[in-house]
Amino acid sequence: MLKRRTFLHTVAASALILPSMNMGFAFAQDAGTLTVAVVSDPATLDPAMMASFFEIAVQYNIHEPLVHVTPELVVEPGLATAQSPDPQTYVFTLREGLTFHDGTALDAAAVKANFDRMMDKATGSPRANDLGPVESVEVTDPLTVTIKLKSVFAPFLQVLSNRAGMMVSPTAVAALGENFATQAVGCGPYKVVSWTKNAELVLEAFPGYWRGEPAIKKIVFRPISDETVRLTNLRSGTVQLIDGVPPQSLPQIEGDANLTLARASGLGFNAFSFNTTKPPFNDARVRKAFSMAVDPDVILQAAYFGAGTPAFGPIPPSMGWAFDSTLTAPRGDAAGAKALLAEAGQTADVPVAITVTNSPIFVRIAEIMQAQAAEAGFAVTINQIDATSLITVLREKSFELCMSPWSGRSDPDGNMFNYFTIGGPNSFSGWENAGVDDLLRQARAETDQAKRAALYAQAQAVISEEAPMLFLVFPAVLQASTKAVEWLQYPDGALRLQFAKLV
Amino acid sequence: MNASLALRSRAPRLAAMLANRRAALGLFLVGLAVFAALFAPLLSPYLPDKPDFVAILKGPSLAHPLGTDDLGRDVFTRILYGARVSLLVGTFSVASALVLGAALGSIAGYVGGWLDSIIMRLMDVIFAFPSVLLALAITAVLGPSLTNAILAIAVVNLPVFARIARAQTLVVRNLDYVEAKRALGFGPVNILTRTILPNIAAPLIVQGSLLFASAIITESYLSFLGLGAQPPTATWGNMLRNSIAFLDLAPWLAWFSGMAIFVTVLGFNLVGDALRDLFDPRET
Amino acid sequence: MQSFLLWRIFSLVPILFGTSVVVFLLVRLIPGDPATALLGMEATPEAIAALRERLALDEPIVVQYLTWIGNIFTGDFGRSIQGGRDVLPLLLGALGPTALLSVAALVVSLAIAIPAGVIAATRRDTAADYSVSFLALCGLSMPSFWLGVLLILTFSIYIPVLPASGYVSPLQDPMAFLTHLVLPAITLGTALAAAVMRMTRSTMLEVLRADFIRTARSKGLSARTVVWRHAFRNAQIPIVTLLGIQFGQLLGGVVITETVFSWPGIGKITVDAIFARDYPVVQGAVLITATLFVLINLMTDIIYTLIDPRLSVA
Repeated sequence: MLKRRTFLHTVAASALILPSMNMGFAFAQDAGTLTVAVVSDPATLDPAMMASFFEIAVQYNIHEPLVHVTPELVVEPGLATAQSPDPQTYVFTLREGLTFHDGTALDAAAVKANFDRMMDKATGSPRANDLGPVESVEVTDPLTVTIKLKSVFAPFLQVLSNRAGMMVSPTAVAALGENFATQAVGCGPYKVVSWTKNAELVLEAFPGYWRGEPAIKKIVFRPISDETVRLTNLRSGTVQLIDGVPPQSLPQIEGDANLTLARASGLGFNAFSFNTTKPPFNDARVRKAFSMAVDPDVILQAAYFGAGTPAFGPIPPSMGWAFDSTLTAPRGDAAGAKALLAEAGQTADVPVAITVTNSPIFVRIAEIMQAQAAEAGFAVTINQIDATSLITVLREKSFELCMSPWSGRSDPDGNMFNYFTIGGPNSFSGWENAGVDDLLRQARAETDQAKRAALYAQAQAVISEEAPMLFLVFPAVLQASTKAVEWLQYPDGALRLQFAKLV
Repeated sequence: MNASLALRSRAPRLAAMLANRRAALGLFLVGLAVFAALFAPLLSPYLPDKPDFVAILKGPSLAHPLGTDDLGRDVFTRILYGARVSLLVGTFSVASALVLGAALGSIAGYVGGWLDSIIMRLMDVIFAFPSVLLALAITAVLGPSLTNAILAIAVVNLPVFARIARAQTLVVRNLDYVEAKRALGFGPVNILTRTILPNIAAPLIVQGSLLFASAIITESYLSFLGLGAQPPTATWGNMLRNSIAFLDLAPWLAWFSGMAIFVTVLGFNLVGDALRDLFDPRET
Repeated sequence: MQSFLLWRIFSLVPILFGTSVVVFLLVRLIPGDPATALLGMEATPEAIAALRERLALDEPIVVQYLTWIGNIFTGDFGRSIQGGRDVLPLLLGALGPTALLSVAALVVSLAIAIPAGVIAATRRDTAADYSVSFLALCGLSMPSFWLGVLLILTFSIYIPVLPASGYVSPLQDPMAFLTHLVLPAITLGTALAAAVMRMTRSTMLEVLRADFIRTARSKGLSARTVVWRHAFRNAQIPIVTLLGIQFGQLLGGVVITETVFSWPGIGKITVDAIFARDYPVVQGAVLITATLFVLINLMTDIIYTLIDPRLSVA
């Protein structure tokens, strides 16, 4: 009786569901397959539309930029070799015989089509901002493209080694329309086999890749948002490589003979933006007082467990030539902060709301700052929101102090221009300083590296003095793998698995 | 085998005593939670929100009987203060759902007609939503805070109370006693409040005590997602959430916060059962 | 009977209609904008405006609603904002894993609960009864995400025999599917088991008191026959009703379990969509879930009357 009833119950439901059971899942435990656990599912596989760090882990496997950047952040030829006859002109010569995953020829016309698409306002691509300085893109030869810039733009090749330089098949874009986002056809080492949202992204090696077919034949990306569960999956061997290793687990991973930890000095920074457009942080002294009360060493230890370095500006040590090791600012000084507050005319406790997402590490940081700022005379409350609301809050400037981390770019311009120029898209603090704006524009137009470094040092000094943002830490990039795989880690944390092999 | 089928119950005294033991345990556990909530400041010298960066992730010791968390805060203290949040949430969300649900349900049952249809259809719509998702959506809309979590849980639990109230009202309103009152000219408000409500109170209270427990669990799940009371306020839910990152380093965090939820919820379930036995002994 | 049935089916319409309106409005009330969610931190205001235009997010809300509900009637649930997939296949695809997990959890819960409930009822007021009842209560009182985490800790970390999370289709690799299913099914099944066990016990007790049982016993039938063939059969009715209600609980509990175990079911997809402000997915998911819920409730009621035509369900 009961069986019949349960059967009826199940039949009713399954009549609606059976068709869905046949999903193209590939079970990835056979040799020749690498399973990777990433932090979250990409939002889109179309490089023209990528706008968050969710895609960083997978993008370089499907797509290939015009030029390649090494772990030392040196630009090398990729799909094309680049030459610059004059500072405002770049000539890209494509390699011969290259195709996209769907067989379409990778020629100058295709490259131009890509740039046209990215820069077209109708597409609404975030790349349009990256390619702002581009004046024209011309096909000068079947395999040669000449790009002219409106003004000298020193970081241009670095930009093209990232999303703005990723070439996709124009035929596929036209054919797939809306579906392109889920089946992106590029020219990278791997092509997309299937993508089941929140479950798996399956890639297989592309024989026509310009470096030759990659060693690992199949890759499966699994999004696992919980950091502990990701690590557990690694330990149990269900996955062989993970991104986003929780810093508190470092001792265990290092002590585990089956696992290898990969640690690199990262390109990004962890910082908070002050809202300089309204009280209390419209007064630079109040901002400095708050910054003074915070002790980044405590944050580094308590929130990052030592995996990183304290930050006083936006340029991290990994950017060797542009990093200013002498840059510092007063920190961890509650008494000094109190005095500065008094100077600014604040006698009572200053109420401050810190806005963070519900990510545990940021909540922890906010709690630490709360305790430290309290000693200096700030009454801090914490406002937890979800990641989507964060962007709205930052843009609408409906915050007093809000987290604004940055994943980092391979050129200092990428870490500073959008943040500190007047009207820059990432200028969440609303701070406007003509001097810094000028310095940054000069630095971007200056080709001599030593001169650029000096300009950035100047800009950082002013930023440190005026404190529109509170820089805390440069987090280390932490990834781990089992002994079954050898791979190459990059400071931007992106996985380029064409350089990996199974052992 | 015959003995096991004995439909004569065992010595009634024994049964009563043992049944009472469960109720006693329930009351004890609930009492423990209430005691912790009321006297938290007296029971511990530490402040629940104050970090102590030298004592991070320390195991249980004399100074910290249940250890410290990732910011060096005393776990025992946070659990005590967490009891306040859980009890607040349980009490207010269930009480508001009960009062409002009972009002809506009894009115619907008493008045009948199109008012009944509208009210009950509305309850059906709420009921058809998966409860967790509804609570999540409401807190997301209103903004994460303790008050909004209470509101969300109250809304989610409305239909249950409304249905019980309505069903019971339908039974009670046809009683002679009520007919008599109507004949005597007593208005509907009087009848509802003086006669009907007291008679339908029992199953509502039983349901309330059972939902108290699930309200605590829902709140901890909302905290788990970052939608409940804001940090650094200690709630058992966000303590449990934090603890997951340190399962290897500091398993006591997960143990104790989960235990606190478990023990309190168990207590309320036991009390709820005892109440049900009291009002409706048929069920035992 | 027929008219009652028609009335019930007819009343589904306003309920589902109401649900669609509520979810449509509710998800738009959540602060934050789907375009910003998709385009992220790097988006320029122009890019956001262009995307909003493409998604028709600035039209009057009534127009948006009518467009959406009109499309639903033609089977078009729209496209997901995150990644542009067709919503209906996306959700149906997610229903598979949820259904499998739910069935597994139900099986686990019934396997534990029925024998436990029967034992508790037949050995009433003995140590066996009390311990079983107490254990049931414990199962009910445990937050499922705590239980899930503890299970992962025990069976994936300390004694690494089972995978910590994830899903493998049974059509691809049945063995792997089962190993991935164990922990989430136990987590979800435990809470259900508790409720079913208690219901089984109390209904069995009621039934065992009934006259026809006395008759059976006095006829000299073996205890086992009496318990299972006669008593249990009649106890099924409230159990059936309970299972119907449990389905509602299931849809709620499944969300938590799917999140903890990264099980790509409809619960997880909905939660993720809410956070990403992926309106079409949330709307479609809630509509489908609510429809399933009321349909299964209706079927439970119908089966209820089929099992025992003596009962009328007015």
